[in-house]
Amino acid sequence: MKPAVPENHLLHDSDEPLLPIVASGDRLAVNRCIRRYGPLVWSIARRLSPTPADAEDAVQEIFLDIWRNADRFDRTRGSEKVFVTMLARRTLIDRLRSLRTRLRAETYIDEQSECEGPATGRAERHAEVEEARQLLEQLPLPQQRVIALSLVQGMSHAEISDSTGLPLGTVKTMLRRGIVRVRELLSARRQP
Amino acid sequence: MNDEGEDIARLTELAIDRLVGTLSEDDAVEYAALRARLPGFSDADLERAVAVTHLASGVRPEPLPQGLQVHLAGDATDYFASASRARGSAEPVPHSRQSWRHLGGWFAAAACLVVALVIWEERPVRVILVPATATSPSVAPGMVRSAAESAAPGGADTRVVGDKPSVAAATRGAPDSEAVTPGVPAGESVTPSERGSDRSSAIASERPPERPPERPSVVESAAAQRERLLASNPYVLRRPWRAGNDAAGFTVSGDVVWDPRSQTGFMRFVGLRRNEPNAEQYQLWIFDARRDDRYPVDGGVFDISGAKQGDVIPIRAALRVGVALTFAVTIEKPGGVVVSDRSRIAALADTT
Repeated sequence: MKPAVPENHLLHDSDEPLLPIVASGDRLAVNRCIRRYGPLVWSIARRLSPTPADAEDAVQEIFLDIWRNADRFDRTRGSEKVFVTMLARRTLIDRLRSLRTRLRAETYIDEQSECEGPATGRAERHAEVEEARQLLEQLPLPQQRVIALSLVQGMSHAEISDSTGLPLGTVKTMLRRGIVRVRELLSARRQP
Repeated sequence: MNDEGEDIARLTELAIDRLVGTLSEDDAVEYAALRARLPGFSDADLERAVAVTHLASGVRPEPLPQGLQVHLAGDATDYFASASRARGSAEPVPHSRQSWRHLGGWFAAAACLVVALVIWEERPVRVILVPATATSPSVAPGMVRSAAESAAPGGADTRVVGDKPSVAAATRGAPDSEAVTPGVPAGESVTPSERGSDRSSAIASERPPERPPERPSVVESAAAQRERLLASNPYVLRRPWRAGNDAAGFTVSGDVVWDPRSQTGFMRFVGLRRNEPNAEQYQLWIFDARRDDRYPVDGGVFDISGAKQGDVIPIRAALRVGVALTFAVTIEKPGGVVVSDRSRIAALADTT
């Protein structure tokens, strides 16, 4: 089966930002962007959506958001991958919030991938993410698990509490403190 | 810690809950109140921290489903064509037009694949081609499928396409769609329950026996304005509708788009029951964090035609809206009311 988004062997993906070119409507850059970030967005969406069909709809909405906001990407503020992840999470959380008001969403969780170890590879080599990973690795294991269950698996505080046996308040505190520490790390990176 | 320091600390906690999707309804009220009290607070750094933490916690990219890749490419084509029209230029400025042309064969192959998949599929497919107008962009690409599926009668898979006459575009699959089915007049509705060996030629040669206009021109115009607003303004708020307590809205989908700076916005509804204007009308209310929630801002009275592609309605706020918290659509007597008893709520959209 031919790939829907064409590969061009004359152009190999690098970590160079694509979004500034995408913003001008360059079709080749658009397709490269889908190839580069589609698997990441799909992976995130699959875990933060109640059904695979909903995940597909979400991915389409996310990419529209990416096209719409491409010109807002500022490489001095962080990597393109983080920018895309922010947009993806924003859309997914909005969708979940809307859904949860109507019914209790059963988070679509792939049990086999639950609490996977950190991924490796070119896509993960961004310095800010690496530094954050090192920071997270220094946290107590239960806190690492709470953070992964919340962000990667999209579980609610209550679900995490049930799953880990930790009190609800502890779950909230662990998650919030972890994120605040990463924010502090990112702020420190930006200091001259 | 002084009061403001405590407020900031609490707002930070709530902002994190919001960013990870665990903000309760009670906390959402507190969050909105604190945001109103601390207008300088920004959660941009927190949002970035959440994204970085997410990536650092282990995300393993997975191959996109093939069909989804096709849809994304089609959506992108529609979006940039629409954005280009909105900017008033004939075409986006291509950085590598030569490369794109070079790839045409790939897209033709992808388009053929899509056509083959559609033909192979068992369910009947109903293709609706939206009329092309000078001012109308393509149907909002991200919303096309849900709109079509909501309107599909009898479980048939209804697909709505933009103003390009293309079978491939019917599945939002082929970016280079014009090459696939040339000669199909825009505005035609095709119901090929018969799937011959040459679907393209069938669509090109057969006109449906009758097809009333799907949307009046005024709706097209509102849809175009909505697209322009979305394409041109990064501060626009966009939230999905959810059902209220009235059966008229039980299948509602679509979204509300609101620009707090220009105080303009649009509501897009799919699946909201058509109203009889002489009997009742819909009315929008905007709950503002800076106002008493007993007195939401009147957003205007409107009717729903039940068009399959959805109705797009401009918002006409009677007063300036500070911080929009909730958009609520009620059903009222013709002409609307000054104060709603909120007994019949058709749709709601929350911003927090």
